[in-house]
Amino acid sequence: MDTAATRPPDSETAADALAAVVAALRDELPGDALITAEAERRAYECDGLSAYRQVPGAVALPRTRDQLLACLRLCREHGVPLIPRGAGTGLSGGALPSATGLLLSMARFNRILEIDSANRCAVVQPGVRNLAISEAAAPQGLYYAPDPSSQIACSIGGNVAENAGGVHCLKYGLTVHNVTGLELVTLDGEIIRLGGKTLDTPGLDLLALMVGSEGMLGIVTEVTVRLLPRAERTQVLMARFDEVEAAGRAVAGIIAAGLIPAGLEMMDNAAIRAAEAFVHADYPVDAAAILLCELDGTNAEVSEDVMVVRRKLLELGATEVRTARDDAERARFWAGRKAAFPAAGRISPDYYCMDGTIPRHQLGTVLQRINTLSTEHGLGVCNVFHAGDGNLHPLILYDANQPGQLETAETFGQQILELCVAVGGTVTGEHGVGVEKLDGMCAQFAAPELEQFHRLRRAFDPLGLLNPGKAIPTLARCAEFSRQHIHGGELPHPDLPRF
Amino acid sequence: MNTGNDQSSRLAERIRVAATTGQRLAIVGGGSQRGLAFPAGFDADVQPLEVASHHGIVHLAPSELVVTVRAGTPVVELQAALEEVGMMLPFEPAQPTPSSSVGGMVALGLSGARRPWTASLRDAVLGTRIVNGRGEILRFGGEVMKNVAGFDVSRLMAGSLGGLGVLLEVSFKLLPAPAYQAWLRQEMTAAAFIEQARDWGRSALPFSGLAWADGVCHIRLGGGQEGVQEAAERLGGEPDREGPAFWTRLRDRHLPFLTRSLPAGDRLWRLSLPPATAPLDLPGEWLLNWAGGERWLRSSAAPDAVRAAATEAGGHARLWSGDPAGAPWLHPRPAALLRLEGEVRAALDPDGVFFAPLLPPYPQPARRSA
Ligand SMILES: Cc1cc2nc3c(=O)[nH]c(=O)nc-3n(C[C@H](O)[C@H](O)[C@H](O)COP(=O)(O)OP(=O)(O)OC[C@H]3O[C@@H](n4cnc5c(N)ncnc54)[C@H](O)[C@@H]3O)c2cc1C
Repeated sequence: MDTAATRPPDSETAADALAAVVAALRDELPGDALITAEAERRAYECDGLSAYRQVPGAVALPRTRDQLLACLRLCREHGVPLIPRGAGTGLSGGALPSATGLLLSMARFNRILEIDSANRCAVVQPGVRNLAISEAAAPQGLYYAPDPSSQIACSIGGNVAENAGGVHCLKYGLTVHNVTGLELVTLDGEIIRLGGKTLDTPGLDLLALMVGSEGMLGIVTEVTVRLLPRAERTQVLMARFDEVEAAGRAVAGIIAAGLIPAGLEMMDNAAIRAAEAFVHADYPVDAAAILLCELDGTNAEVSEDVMVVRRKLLELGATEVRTARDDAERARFWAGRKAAFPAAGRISPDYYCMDGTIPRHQLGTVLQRINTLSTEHGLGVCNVFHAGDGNLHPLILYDANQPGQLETAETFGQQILELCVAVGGTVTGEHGVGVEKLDGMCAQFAAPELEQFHRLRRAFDPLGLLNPGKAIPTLARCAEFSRQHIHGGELPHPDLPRF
Repeated sequence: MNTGNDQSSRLAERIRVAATTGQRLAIVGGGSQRGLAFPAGFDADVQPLEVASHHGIVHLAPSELVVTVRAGTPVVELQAALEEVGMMLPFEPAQPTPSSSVGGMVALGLSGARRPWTASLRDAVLGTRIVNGRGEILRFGGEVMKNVAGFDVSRLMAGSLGGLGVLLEVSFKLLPAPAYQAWLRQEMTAAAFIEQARDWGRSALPFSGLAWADGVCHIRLGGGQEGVQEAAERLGGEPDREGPAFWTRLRDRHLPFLTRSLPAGDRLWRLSLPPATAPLDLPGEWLLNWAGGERWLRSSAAPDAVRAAATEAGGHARLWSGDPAGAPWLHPRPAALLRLEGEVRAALDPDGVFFAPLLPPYPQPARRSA
């Protein structure tokens, strides 16, 4: 395969090709839509995963479809890689630039085109911030359900590319469940519309394939999302546990009782302490774990469900259950959870956020292992997670200024991901693979599966110019990975049952 | 739990042979809905590939909200197993006949009456094991709720009409079956129903179905007892004694509206529209589901007229039965999209092993040179 993706990025021809694209773009884009000065390019050197940095060769900020098409055409003609970027909050290096590529910021595609309250949907451009959709729909009593913690900043285009989730996904689904239409532009410059305001599409479901494709199949230029009516009433319970395993069992117990809470989140002791010190959410700092359970619906539904959940929690070992008395207390309960990442940032110079998913019944086992690994590596860890979905976010605490700590944190992280795969889970629940989890992909998929992903990618982008080197590892990389990881035929965690 | 019959290697081997010998295969599950994937039957050179014997529930974990099942398993068998543990498939699939299989259900990709409130079929797919056109057994997704590792091939398999690969196993997200249900009816016109459904849609009431047939709006509610009873009081209308039977027949496409024979020249259409779309100006009779989002039409209108009206409204129309008169069964799509669908097929089935007449054709290098 002879594509720009396989060409050595530092070769002179690659730099010349980019220079040719930049020169031609000067005629196509307004002056403020092309960034070439080194100091300004540096602002784009990383996304939310700042351990990986690379100053882009050039940055384009198209505002119109014609400008975008010009970028695509020129990059195609000169074989220059294009790296799409939304708000740059991604946590896996999906928007990591290339030194000889064009970083394509979609930030100026930032208009809300329509709030259609009759059909309960919104049509927006990809650069629109996630929260801005709910804000625009609020006067109609509607909102957009997927709510990543980064929702004030992240773009809907980035959400589509990562299939972003949030604390309300257990009941209301991920991005893939809430997007009914997309417009995309392929590298060839073809404009393709998938779905729309209907609840299904004719032909192959390419919409499902696009969501979570990490900018490798096409540039998303328009998104149609479903809007939901605001629930009449929302209530939050906070349960305290003296044992982490009991909290895990309570999660399963609530679901077994026939309830799907709007949110079901768990924090371990380290996370509770960090959050409490930061926002004073009134958490019990000596608890082994807390569960936050949000219930929503009509007044009658919520009253009924609160009783059921309360009873279940106590039955399954909660040593205290508090129901928020008012909106202020409800906001306080959530504030601690929502501030968990910055709270970790306050107790440690750096933290590394992991994102694996496991079957819920493995929660206890996996947390124990993470704690053992934490002791072995001498690095602290706070655990916050979307417990209802089994989606873990261990935050590994380290100090990048201490030699070797970043590497240790990365090894620790990789071991956590392998553990997730070993218990029947996945290396990424919602943050995507990007450049960060390429090795994890080798652990999760066999060569024919990876090869199938590459073929699908070529179906959309035969030249391999869209976001090359992300999301799907090469077979050569995986061969190297397994050479290093499987010693004497032994897989990591040989004692765990395989699925 | 792992009972039943695993035919994975036989199926994969059969496809490998087909790929090397230029044989074409039509994937057949229970066989009950063959007309929906192969409305004009098989081409002369096509052999059926029987999947029904690959059956059994592989793993059912209610507290994980997940089931993994082999594709040949009858939908009724799966539903019975779920009912026993108080669970359900969120998309309320049709069980048109006792033999209708899980694989056929996924390949058709059709969702039932709950679709607007819970999930579509493809939404509920968490993972698959498939055989692609090269005879490789591949696993995508898994049994966990959230998984963004690799492209979402599992959900792409939903609605793939047998054109991408053989489904071996599918993992679905489950939901607890509602503890309590209520059925109501209100008499109104179709136009009034569409407006009413739109207004009700602005409040988060525990709906699990909103349909209209023969001048009657059928309401189904599901959830906790108090919540449902309170919602029923708020909505008003009479208790619908025929409710349970109506919704079952609608689900299995057994309502007379859908099964009655068509007068010569008439056609049965399934339209998918933005739900609040005002009644379309087409001759014939209507049956509305999904709060107006899914509309069935028995009509003498020309295919072009139906399609033009659906397109104009931002939707699409599938010809369900009746004389195709040269018109495609699925809603026509722009050339660029058809080309892309063809490339995706080629990525999974480069040699064109799988016979899928409703999907766009694509060049097959092996065949071309043969
Ligand atoms: C504090 C914090 C909390 C977070 N919490 C959550 C959370 O709760 N849940 C969650 O899921 N994520 C979370 N994230 C991760 C991140 O916010 C999401 O992944 C988000 O979807 C990224 O959106 P973005 O606009 O920033 O995309 P970027 O980071 O700019 O890009 C992400 C990917 O999308 C591609 N892309 C962007 N725009 C387009 C487009 N128009 N067309 C094609 N490809 C495109 C890029 O190439 C890249 O691969 C969090 C991040 C932070 C920093």
